[in-house]
Amino acid sequence: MHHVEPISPYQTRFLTPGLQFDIRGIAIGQKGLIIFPTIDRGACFFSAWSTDGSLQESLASLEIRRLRSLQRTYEIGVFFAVESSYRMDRVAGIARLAGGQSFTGTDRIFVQYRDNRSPLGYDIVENVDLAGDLVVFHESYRQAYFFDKTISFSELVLKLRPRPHKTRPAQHNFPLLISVEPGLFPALVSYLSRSAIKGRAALLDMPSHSAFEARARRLFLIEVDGLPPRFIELLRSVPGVNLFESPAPWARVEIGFEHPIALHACPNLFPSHTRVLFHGKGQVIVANALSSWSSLDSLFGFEWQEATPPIAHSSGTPLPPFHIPLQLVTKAPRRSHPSALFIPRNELLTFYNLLYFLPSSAFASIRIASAPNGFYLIAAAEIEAIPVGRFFNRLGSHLYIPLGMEIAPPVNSTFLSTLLSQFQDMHVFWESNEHPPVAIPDKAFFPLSQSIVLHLAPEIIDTLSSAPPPPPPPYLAHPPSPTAPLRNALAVSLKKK
Amino acid sequence: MSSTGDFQRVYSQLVELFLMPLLQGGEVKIPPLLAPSCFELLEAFAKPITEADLRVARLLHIQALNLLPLKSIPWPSPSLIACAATLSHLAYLLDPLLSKPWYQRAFARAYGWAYEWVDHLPPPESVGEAVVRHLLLQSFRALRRRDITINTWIATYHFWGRPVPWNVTALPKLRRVRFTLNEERSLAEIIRLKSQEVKNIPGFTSLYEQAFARISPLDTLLNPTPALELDENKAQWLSDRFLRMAICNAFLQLDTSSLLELLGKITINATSYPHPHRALVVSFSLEVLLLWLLATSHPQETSFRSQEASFCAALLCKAWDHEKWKQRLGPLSPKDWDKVLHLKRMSGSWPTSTIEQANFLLEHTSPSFC
Repeated sequence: MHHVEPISPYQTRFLTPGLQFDIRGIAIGQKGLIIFPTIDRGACFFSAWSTDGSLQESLASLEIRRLRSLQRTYEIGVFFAVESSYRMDRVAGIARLAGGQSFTGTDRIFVQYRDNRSPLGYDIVENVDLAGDLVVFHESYRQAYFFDKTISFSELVLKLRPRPHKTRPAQHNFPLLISVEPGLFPALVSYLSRSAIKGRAALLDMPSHSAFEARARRLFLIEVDGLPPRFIELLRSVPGVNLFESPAPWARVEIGFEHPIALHACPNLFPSHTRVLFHGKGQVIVANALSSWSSLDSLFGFEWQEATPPIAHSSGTPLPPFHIPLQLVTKAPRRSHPSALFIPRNELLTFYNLLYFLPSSAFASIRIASAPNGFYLIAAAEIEAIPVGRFFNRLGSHLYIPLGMEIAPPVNSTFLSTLLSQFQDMHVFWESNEHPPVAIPDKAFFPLSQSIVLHLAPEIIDTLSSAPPPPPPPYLAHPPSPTAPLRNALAVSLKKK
Repeated sequence: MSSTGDFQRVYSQLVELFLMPLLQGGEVKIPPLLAPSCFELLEAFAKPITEADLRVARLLHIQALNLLPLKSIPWPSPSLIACAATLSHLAYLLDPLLSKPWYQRAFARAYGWAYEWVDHLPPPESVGEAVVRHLLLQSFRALRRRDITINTWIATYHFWGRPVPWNVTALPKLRRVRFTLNEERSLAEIIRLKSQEVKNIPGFTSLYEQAFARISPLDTLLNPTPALELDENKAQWLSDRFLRMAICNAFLQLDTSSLLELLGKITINATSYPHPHRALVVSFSLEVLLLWLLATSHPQETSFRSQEASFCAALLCKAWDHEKWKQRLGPLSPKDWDKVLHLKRMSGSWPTSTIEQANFLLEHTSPSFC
């Protein structure tokens, strides 16, 4: 028995309440309804729908409800407003793909949406009053449902776990968000600031997971507009630091993972000041209670200097010839590559541990010299991979000044080379105004591998004298015929007898 | 075929099926048995040394070098072949099928032969032969057997030391092969099971004990237990320097209390031996005690509570008071001498009779070991 019948082109009224022809002559209600047997089919539907286009216009009217049938079975119904049959066609196509059935209606009664057999849609055959919050009529059945509970779309998004990228994306969605455990925050801010990376930071107070926790958990968030690829690889490998990219203004998904639902399709799901962090392992952090964002530069350490007395000006007498000393002054931050590094004595232990993680090219290019107060390292590249010590820039051929500083007055490098002409075969390191420059002969620098690897003494193993493996145990095997050994033995003994 | 030809055939099967796998591991099969009457044939038969003999000699030599340095191995000699033949009889008697009534005659005949072989075995003539006999016995003791039990809905099948025919486990679902139990039994366990099967035959277990004692007199010396009895016959093996060191190493594997009690017991027993044997035992005991003292960190007073242990300690303390024994034991480093002094200080708590007995034994015994 059919519960719906195809609509003919000249039909003027429908038994289904709220059904009407749209501009193309297709019977359609004010709402669309997709019914899925399980929630995971619904998730597939939203994943496909968000990939196909924006959900922004549908989100306002979107309603996900759990439906309970008279037989106490549960299904998932997705309601949304339908302005035209174009949108309904697109959604119905995706729903069929995800295993759902599409209906249209206005209030309580929904009828099967059009398909190839009935291009104009369907209407119910007779108006049967079934008890329930929702009655759907299909070609092969009619079914009444009660509304069980409502699931908001944002709740669904938060509950879906990100999955690893199938392929490595060519580029990341900026801005990137870095979540840092409190202990690592000062070191990371210092590292990013020294590398002239612009960004801002905020503090997130998270509620305690348990009443037994002494205090709320805190997390620092750093948002950067750009980050070189080597930084991304480095920070991803640091425990306690997580990197997130931004598929939507509110969403931050851990790098290397993607959310099942294309989050860029729903840009206004959360307020713009909220950050939702999706960890690859499934943890979701909704950051509402963020402190105000502050620039990274404002959080970097400052140095105090002694107050200098004002210079007394005199007038009337001719100025004698004067000499002013060169000084190191802080320059405006600008991205530059360091070419030398000084590691003080108190950071040597960290440096020794870091040596195990340096790339092989670093060992080939870096040269190192030992001084009483620490190690001096010089290299054309690779030296910025070492995150300890103080970086130096090279001025001219062999003068090194700290990164982020410049010489005042700004004399050119040729003049500097002239000043240091007697230190031709040396590398001159000028660390601060308080201390005179230090000159280290070039021959005191040795390749890194030659200087740090002590020795490798292989143990000689004489394979001839080493003990052989223990032999397998002997296993007793009785003869197939128990009398066989005796029969054969008898011949010998009889002959002897 | 002549009796020589038959003997050659059976001998080669004894070596290749039984002896070689016994020494190097693998499946040990029961060769055709040699009747005890062949013993005379063995002595008269001068067989050429074959490739298999050389392989056996090499395997034995490698194992012997783990115990003591031997220049050569006396394989094949009539008494060693007799030992191998005895062991093949002992292995044959363990067949569980021989307990069936229809194999009673066969079992009785082989059982009688085994006893005759054991009676025929002469004592070892040299240290090399004694060591080889000990190695043969040690390999025989290492024998294991795979016992498989298969249970189907019709019956339970036992395949003890035999392969399972393919048709027993074929179509397991249709024939409801319910479970398969695969056990690996040691020789001691196999002998115990077999002795339960042949309860009506007296002396089955004692056959194996006698055979083991006749085959290797060194067995109890190289695997010492607190129950060891060192009679004069066994004490004579202590006269060989290398063999004594091997026995000494075996003694030192015992824990401290067992070692001291055993040494005390055998030394006290040795007081009734004639002089050469008594000197061997006392010298051996002092040598082991000295090595134990050098290896131990600090002797504890609790180790010398028993009479035998305190006798040992008194023997070691008093040996330094006799010039002939002092020279024999040699000088000690200051650290080791402290241990001896520590023992001497402890000797105040031991019975006076024990100390006097030790002193008397040392005084009336001259150091041995040339």
